[in-house]
Amino acid sequence: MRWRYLAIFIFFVVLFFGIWSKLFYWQIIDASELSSMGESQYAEYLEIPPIRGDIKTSDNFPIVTNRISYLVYANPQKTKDITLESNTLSQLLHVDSASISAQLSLKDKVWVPLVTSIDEAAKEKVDALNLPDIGFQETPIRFYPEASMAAQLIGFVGKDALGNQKGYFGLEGYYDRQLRGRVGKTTVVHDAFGKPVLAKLTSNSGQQDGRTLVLHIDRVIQYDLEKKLQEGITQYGADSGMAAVMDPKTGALLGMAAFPSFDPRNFWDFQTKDYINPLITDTYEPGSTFKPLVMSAAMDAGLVTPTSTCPICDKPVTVGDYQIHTWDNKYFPNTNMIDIMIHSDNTGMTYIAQKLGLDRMMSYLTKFGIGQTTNIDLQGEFAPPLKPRSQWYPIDLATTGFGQGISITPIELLDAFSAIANGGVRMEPHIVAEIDTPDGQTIPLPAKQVDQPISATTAKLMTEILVDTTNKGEASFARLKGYRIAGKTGTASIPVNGHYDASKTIASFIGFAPADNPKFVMLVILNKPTTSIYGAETAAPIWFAVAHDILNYYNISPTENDSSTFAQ
Amino acid sequence: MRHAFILGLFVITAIVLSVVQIVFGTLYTTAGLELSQVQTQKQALDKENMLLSEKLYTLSSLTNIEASAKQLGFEDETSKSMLVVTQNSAFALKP
Repeated sequence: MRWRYLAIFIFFVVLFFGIWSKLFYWQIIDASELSSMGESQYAEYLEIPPIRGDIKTSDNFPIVTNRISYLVYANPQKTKDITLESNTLSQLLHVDSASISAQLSLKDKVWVPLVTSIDEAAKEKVDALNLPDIGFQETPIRFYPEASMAAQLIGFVGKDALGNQKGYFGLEGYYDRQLRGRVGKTTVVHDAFGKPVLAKLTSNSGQQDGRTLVLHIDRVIQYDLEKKLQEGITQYGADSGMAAVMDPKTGALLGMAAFPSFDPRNFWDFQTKDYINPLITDTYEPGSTFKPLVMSAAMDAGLVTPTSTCPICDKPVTVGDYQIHTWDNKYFPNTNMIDIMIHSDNTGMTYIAQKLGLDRMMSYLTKFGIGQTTNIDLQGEFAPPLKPRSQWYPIDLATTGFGQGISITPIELLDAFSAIANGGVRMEPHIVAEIDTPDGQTIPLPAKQVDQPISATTAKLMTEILVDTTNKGEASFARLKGYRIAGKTGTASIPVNGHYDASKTIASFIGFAPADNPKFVMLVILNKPTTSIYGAETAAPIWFAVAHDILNYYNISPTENDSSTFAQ
Repeated sequence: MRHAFILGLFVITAIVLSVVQIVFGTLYTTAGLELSQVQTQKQALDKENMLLSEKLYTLSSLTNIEASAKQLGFEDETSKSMLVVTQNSAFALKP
């Protein structure tokens, strides 16, 4: 009898062990797979993509937003008449019939893309055909109500290596993390009839839409700046051109334009160089537009006053093996600082640079931000550093006085020059005024003071010299009568293989208005103009045309007295 | 007697719980359907809103306004001169 009890006991032990093993296998080893198999029968996992944030101008108008577009796809196995369908879709969607026909001929596929980015109207037309093999996939894409306005400033949205949206260049690149938002994941549980179950309908998905950028950029100024610059490039036969308008008191960029540009809607049709904003990346020798920085440094150091005279300006100045001439080979003995600026006298600026000396020159240029990036909130800013002190030769010091032999970016010059307009205080240039979050919060980005290179008194004196320069200098024919405008022309030679080509120049004009209470500082640059090589005859008229419109726009009336205090 | 009371209590509790389960279950199922419909409606309205915004932005773009102005006969200002009207200037109110 005992062996029977033992046999039954062993049988149950084996049976129990077998059951336990199977349960262990199901619940421990294979648990996750079985669990997901079960969930797949009643649950659906959804990825909720975020909506990318808008980019708005200062008037709250979205120059970049999103719109619905559709991808048209087909199931070739359901296509009845390839030729007829290809021709019909080709006519409706304005695409090549052959490419549609080729896709529809792939009979071994069940999903082939036909056309991307069609709008709602086109979708409705195709939908009305009731083609059983055609379907649509809704995808939001970037929409630019002002077309290619401020394209290099904005950048564009492409895809990263994983196929996700990613901003490149400009604001889209710099603020990509703010704009893109966060993808959410959620589970929807269905009952036996496929209806969603409320208790399990949604959980906290973590999805968050992108934040909206509100810019300092004024849409009206930007539009006018682009229009006038484009017209100017054509009129003066220039290779390219760029311009920027800034509020010197806050560093807020009110407008920024460059041509050639690109269309962010079809960015793939353009070359990479067209995406790059030359105002923050291209270096050039600024020429005479640099002179106000050097002269104000010398005045601030107490080395010269507006009425100081130049004892070496009666003839070309010799520095080492080099001889420095004036631009028109005219010389003015004992000329004062005001006239040096009015005549854009290179010998006078050489005198000032030599009087300033290398140490003070480097110190003031550094305070003006020369040789450093401005920290503007745009992707790709570059600034060549100043040469080390040991590499400066006497000729370098002399030529720096009149803006040759030194390379800077246009934004560096604009920011440095704005310090003269702002009582000697230099602000950090900024494009974005505030960031709006999807939950209604506003994050302001306050103005930031960077440095004070010169005193308020020096800035005032320099402003008066520049008003005189505008009224009596080479560009006086284009000036706006009734307005006190502080400005300076620039005609910089372009270095080619270690020499300067006299026929190819970078023509520019920089200035601010109204001189007593500046509302804007503006820089206009034309690259290799052909009708005239001079900034006074090409860039200056563009500058004054835009300034005229901005003054009108700001309701700033002309006054009877537009001369400088020196002239009075 | 006491056993019958306890048994009855169990039965009543079971019935009450079943009814509660059925009522709430039905409510949840219906609400889930309603919520699904509301979500579909919201999606449709969001889409319509986006399409209307697109039209609004296109129409109020400066490019479009300039084109419309030109069609209406407005011209670009070509002169740099400005007329400044002082307070004392006299105007004829009637021809």
